[in-house]
Amino acid sequence: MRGAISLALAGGLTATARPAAFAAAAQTIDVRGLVPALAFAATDAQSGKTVTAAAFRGKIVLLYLGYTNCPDVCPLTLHNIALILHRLGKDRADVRVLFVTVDPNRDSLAVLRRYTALFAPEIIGLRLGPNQLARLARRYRLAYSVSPATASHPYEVLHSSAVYVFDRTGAARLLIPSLASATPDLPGTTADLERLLHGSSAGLLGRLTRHF
Amino acid sequence: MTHRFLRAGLKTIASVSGLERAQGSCFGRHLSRPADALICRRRLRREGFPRRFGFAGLALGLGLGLAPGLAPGAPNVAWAGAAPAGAPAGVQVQTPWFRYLLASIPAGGYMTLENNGAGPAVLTGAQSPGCGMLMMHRTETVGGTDRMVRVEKVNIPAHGKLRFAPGGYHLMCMEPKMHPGQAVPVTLHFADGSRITVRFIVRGANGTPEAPGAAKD
Repeated sequence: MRGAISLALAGGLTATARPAAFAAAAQTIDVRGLVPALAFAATDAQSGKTVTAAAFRGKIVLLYLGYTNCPDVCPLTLHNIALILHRLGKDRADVRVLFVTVDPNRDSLAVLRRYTALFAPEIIGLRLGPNQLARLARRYRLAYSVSPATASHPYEVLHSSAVYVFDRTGAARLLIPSLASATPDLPGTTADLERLLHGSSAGLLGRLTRHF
Repeated sequence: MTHRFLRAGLKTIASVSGLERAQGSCFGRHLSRPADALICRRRLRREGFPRRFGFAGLALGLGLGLAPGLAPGAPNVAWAGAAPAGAPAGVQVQTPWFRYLLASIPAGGYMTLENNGAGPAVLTGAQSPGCGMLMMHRTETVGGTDRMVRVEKVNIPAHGKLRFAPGGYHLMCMEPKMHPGQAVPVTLHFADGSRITVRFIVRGANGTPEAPGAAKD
């Protein structure tokens, strides 16, 4: 059970969060001011180099914890994210999806890179060492555990369903409890991301210029 | 709040995949009743079709433009034939498919099992030449976390349906030897000793060929 972190995640957040000002979709939760800004240092599966949150300033960032030996919920989640990116059209260029492996012992950079490429080019595989991973998960109250196989028990991985959304400044804005659903709220979630993409921080000029 | 997550989890497990609207058919012919299936089977055999669709069957399917790869949403139905007494003779398998990711990563298998029989049918396992080890799993969503749990048997109630769908029950094809567009035979084993062999259509990462960026790996 190395690296096990239990979580009180959204339980506490949802009760208080969701200011009326942000008409979040039914399946998303406004976490502005409740969750720390995006911060991490990880190995980018694509380049093999260390990358930090600073590299994603100016982009809307989705953060999801998973692992590649995950044939059911991870593909379902990543596929739904791919559908949301598709709905965003040209705006998808301003979105990055960070797929952080909770199983770094088994997930090589090469496998991680090939796995994320199956879904969308905006999905970036990230690998962190055990301590950094634990720190990241604690920071965002995300749960994961990896239990290597024993004589009586198969290799088991547990991970949060949640997807966090950060705005262009790196501030945490939304929590999507789960996209591992056959009936996800794609229009609502897309609309929420569009709000962040074209939000007040961009200003009218920014919004206008984006259309030309 | 916990309730909300639990409910969401249950909803996920029970949810109906939009992909699985297929009706029973045998090369386009509707088979809503077991009698129709029998007629279809006899007809196919009369036409020189092997009892279990072999390579020849697949080739014919391709020739007819009904190949799994070309019409992945097309129903692929099998009935438990010549089962021993008390067998789930009315068990029908609809829309069987694998989500193939990479050769080194397990492929998830999905289908809808429909039991038209008077008694419950109990699925106890599956095997496939395209999988190495093939296990039954269920994704358990509890408190906002997901994990896969191995399942020893699955009960399909009399006159009921059970879905193996993303986010719920799935087959774990541990060493997938397949590619999107292919059809891979899977034999399902039931508690009473009966078996059904079904061809699972292999789809890419996105589970549907219409989806953007469908895998071609």
